[in-house]
Amino acid sequence: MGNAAFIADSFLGFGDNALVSAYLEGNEDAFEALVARYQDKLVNYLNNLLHDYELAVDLAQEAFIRVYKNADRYEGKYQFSTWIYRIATNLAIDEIRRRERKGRFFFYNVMSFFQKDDMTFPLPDKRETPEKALDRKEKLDRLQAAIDTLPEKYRLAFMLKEVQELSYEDTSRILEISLGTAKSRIHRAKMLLREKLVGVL
Amino acid sequence: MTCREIEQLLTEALDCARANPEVASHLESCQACRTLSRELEEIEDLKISLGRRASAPADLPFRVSREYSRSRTRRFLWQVALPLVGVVLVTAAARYLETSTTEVASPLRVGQERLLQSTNGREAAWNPALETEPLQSRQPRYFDVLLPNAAEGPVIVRLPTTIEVYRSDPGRDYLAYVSH
Repeated sequence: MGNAAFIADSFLGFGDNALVSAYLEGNEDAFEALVARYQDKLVNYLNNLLHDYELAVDLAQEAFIRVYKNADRYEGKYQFSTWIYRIATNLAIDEIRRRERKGRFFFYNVMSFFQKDDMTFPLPDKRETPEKALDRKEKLDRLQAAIDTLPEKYRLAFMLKEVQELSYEDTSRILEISLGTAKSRIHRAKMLLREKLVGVL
Repeated sequence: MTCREIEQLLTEALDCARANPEVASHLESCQACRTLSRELEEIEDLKISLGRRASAPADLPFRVSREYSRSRTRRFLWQVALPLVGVVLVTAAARYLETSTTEVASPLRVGQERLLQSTNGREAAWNPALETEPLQSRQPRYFDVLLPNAAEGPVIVRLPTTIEVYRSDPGRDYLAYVSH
């Protein structure tokens, strides 16, 4: 495999399905371009769900390897993004449930609510004063903590639709629920967040 | 429009909802829905930053490729190489049994040299006169090994419990036992 950025650029005009087809025809670089296209999104998504960067990278890697192994089974019926997000979501759910069995997730949620650690990196806005930037970081931390306390079904729907900016249709396919259920979960998630962020917003 | 309907529209697609004249008119007259609209806007604004907090390491494509190669090697070992080794072992064992002396069921003597009287260079007869230690009990002649991950399904490999190796000794009329 060659330079990832160079390869990603050389496949810029290709859709995801075209890249999968090219890979199945033997072009390994096409797969690398797919990895380069989705790696940040997946790592971000998993990191926001699990709050463990190294684990997020490992699970993103595992998701890509599963795609690698099963690319010949990809039918192209749904978008590639739906497929890879579904794999990543299932990996994250497994990890969340494993942690819940061990009680670590609860511990993290309680601690993260009280701790104001420096694990967050809001985008710097040059127009913002230091006070505003601090306020924004504070709000961002509170929003993340509020999302973490949402029930899993609302948290996943909110993350996919609102944070990853996928469509309602893709969100429903990834979570394997109806479109109506997806809309209802996201509505409920937003209303719950609003309640949890009273005094912050 | 009721507040409940406005709430539904605002949470589904904030910008689209606010562009709707009916919604806009309701928001002008309803303080509660205006507050909801403002708070949802702030959540929308913040959540964008959440989606950009971390980047993947630059070497992730390489790591994916390397890990995939490793998993392919492991799969090859389980599905091809291991059954192949089994087949080779069975073939070797069968050939050995074909060409070995008539001492197949002879007593096992671990770590001791034993001598076989040579008759024609290929077959040999056991010479009890050369025996110096008491004989141990007989062993089962074979055992079965199940290889579950063969390419064509599970395979049972039958192996001899004892493989004895003898070496001819030029100038002497017996074969020297080497190992088993």
